[in-house]
Amino acid sequence: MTKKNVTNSIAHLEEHADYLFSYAMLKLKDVALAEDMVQDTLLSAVAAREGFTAQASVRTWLTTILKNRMIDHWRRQGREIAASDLVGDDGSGDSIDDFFDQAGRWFEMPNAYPSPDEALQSKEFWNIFEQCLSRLKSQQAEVFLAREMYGMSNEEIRESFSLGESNVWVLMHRARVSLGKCLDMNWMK
Amino acid sequence: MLNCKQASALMSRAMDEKLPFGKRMALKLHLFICDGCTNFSSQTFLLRKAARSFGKCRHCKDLRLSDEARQRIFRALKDVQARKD
Repeated sequence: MTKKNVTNSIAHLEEHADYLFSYAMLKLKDVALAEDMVQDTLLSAVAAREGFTAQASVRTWLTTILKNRMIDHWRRQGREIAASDLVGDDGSGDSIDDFFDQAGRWFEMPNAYPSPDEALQSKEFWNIFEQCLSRLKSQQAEVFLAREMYGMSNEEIRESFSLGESNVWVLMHRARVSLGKCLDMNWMK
Repeated sequence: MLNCKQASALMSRAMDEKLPFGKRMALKLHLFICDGCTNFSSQTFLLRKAARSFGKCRHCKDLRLSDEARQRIFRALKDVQARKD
């Protein structure tokens, strides 16, 4: 790789830094620690040049490095449960069928939120929203953040996370239903 | 007829891309008769609005890197890179 390419690659990493940081913040809730994790992640990315050049799924790859860093951190602290939440991702214990009966009807009808602007003015709402986000399964959180906070299209998400079309639909559906349910339970009762 | 599980899946998809005509009509019909899914629709809009204004929210811990941190991190990256070359 020429020097120019390398510099370009570093610049290219910059667009992922915010994403990695918000992901780490949701799980760690500690600015300094999250910044360290992002720095570690990007440094090991630069160190591993080969992986670095496979641009298609850079974000997936970086997120994997970040997750491993966070798992190591929790293990050092003896927090196996927090670590296992990132390891055994999305396979079990979180299905869309937790929210619907066999006929596909809501177990509990969602609440209406007629005035979003009012919600967004409330400090309590933001605390709950943050908590609800941090409770999402990690792959759902990744895709939800990419879509709703960073405005990536479904197509960009498919590419950067190496997901199929229907995987993205399923993950977004589950994220939205889980978040909605979490708001219903914790915010307006 | 769609059930709520199917309708909410289509609604979520419709937030992100244009649905094919038939699915769009089926969803409209379902929403016309279903309060639960109409409420779910208002939830998804609230979630979108919240996620988009998260960065600007004064009450939240900032979820974006501060400029100082960004500069520090990218200086470190360039140092490491320079030493390698």
